[in-house]
Amino acid sequence: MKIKTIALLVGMASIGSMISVNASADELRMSWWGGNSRHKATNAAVDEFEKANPSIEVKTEYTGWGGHLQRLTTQIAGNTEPDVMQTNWNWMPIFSAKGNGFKDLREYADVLDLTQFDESALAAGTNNGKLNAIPISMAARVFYFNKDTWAKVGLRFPTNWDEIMAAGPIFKEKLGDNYFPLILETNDLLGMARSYMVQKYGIGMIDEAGEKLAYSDAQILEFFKLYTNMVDNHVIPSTKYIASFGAANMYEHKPWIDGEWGGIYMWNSAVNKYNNNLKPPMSLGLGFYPQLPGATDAGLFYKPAQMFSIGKNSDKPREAAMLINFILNEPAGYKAMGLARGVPLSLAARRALALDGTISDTDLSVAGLAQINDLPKNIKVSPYFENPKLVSLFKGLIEKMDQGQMTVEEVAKDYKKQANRILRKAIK
Amino acid sequence: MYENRRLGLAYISPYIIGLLVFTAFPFLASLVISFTDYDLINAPEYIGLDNYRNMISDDTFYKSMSVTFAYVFLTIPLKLAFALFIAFVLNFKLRGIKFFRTAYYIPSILGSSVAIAVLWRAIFSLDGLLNNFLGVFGVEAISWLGEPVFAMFSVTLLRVWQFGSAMVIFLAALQSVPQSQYEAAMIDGASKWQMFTKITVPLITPVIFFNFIMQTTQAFQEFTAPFVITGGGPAESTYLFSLYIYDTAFKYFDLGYGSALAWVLFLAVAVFTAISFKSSKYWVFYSGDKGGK
Repeated sequence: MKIKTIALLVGMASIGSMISVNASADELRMSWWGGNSRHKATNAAVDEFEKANPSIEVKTEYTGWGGHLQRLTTQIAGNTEPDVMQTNWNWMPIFSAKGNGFKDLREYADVLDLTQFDESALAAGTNNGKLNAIPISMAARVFYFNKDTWAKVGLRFPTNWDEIMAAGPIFKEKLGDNYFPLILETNDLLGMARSYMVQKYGIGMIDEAGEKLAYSDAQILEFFKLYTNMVDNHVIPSTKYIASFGAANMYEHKPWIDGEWGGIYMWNSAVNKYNNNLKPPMSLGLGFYPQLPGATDAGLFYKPAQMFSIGKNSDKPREAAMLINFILNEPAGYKAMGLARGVPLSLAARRALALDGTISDTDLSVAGLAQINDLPKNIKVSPYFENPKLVSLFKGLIEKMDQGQMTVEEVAKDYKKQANRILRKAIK
Repeated sequence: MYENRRLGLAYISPYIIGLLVFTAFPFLASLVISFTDYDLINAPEYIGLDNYRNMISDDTFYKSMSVTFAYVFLTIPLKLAFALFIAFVLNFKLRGIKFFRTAYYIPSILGSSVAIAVLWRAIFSLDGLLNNFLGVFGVEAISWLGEPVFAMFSVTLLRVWQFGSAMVIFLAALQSVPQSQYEAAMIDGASKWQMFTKITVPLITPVIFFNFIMQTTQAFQEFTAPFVITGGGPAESTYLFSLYIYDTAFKYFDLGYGSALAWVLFLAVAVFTAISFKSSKYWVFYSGDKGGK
């Protein structure tokens, strides 16, 4: 009989282990993506929150950008998402088209001080009248260059598109084949090419109403030729060259660390991750934003850098709102966070951090934001611009071109056909 | 009797429950999902055979299927030949043989882990270990991961390197070949090579067949190595089918199509295995075949 009891216990234990029981009543879960500096700062801010609220324990789950959306989507689909999560602006149509994919943060306005935020910024996180996400900071892609590499080549930072193009041959001649003025990965390249096209033609890339690309055939060809010209001029390495370093993050590749790749077109909110990985004493400096003569819009990819949302299944939404408020609006929170999530949108945080000298123009992301604020940026980026299928299509075609499997004309033609099909399906 | 059966079931319940919940249910659920349009967030919508029909005009489907078959046909013969060769060598009574057996088995214990794949990337990268080593001899750096053919080779090599488990099975088989047969052959004046091809290989064909099937089914499902080392590139040259399934389901959030792709892979492996079994009666010899019992 004893054996029978043991066997039953084993069986029951195995069932029990599958039904996970929440350990403590006041436990919150929080997730985000980012680099090491953000992980450190956010964990520090969370520690401060726990000190101020001893009855609440916060479990943190953080990863790099790669795979984060996949992980979160699986959690949301299984109703096991964290209470507080960092969300991205273009995830809103995926998770909460009708506004019920996340909690409405306005319901917790008594513990979450929304008056610190501009209403126009809150609009970016609002779906169907419900405030699903609160923007933490705003960001856009701008140019940053490696000061030491450019000094070595004897050039000042380029001020217009022509000077960017002209730098390629000089880098090659003075420093060698491995040195490039810029490095662009797929998304960087897409953003930069779009910016150029906005400046030249005054239109965005996607015609949402028509569910298709906004460019004419000639313009699509020009879009791709911008890339081939840059590669031919030694301004950027080809995808083939980048691929030879394997599939890791660009800032982990040796040529970046050693300063062979002299610049990036990057989110101002993410630039410190790239800067910190350079071999000391090298550092980045903010570049000028190139503008075509007569352009009325810079074509910036301007959007909330990240947002915070509360899961629709959270059973402690008030505590979750308190945590968000602590990080964004309370001194102990925003001081621990510093600029690890960009320059805060929260008025209270921005004022205090400016007074104590944290927000200073010597910080790369702050300098970038000042530049962004000065540039004309009325043409909005479509949320479908970074549709994963569209990005994969672009990446695949560029690679085929670099491998000599397709010509640029064939690529442009194929891109139009397939991109329109993808957009039709995505926008419907 | 009945009491015993209940007790037995209770003992194996952890396995049975695990099998039902984590294997059988997802297996059947993916079949159902493959007939739907499902993005994980909104409710699935039944669309019949559309997902399967869409594959006919899907270039990526053909590309990644052919890449997968190329990978399998490249990996399996290399790996089996290598495992058999090493097992053959390690079957001799040499000094320190146990150390070598362990050493050659270690890569298999490490398995297809992410850490090993990262190591592999560091070895084959343009500025990696291999090019640095070749540089000593004045060889110019080779773009192992940037050229489609070399990239496939680099990814393949990782699996071939993990030949240990096949080797151990071969070793066991080699040791069960009766010594008397070699002695008889020796008396008849057979060379070492003749003994290997005429005695050893025929007698261990069942084990070769076993290793072949095991390795093939695993190779069809390879994911970690290409995902970490090349990300499927350059130009989809290492874009194995499992990567395509993953991207479709979890990057494009098209669970329906992803499930349909997974079922096509399952069927491809099943058909391939069935053909292998059919062919086995022409080249696999069981010791009971002749003479009988």
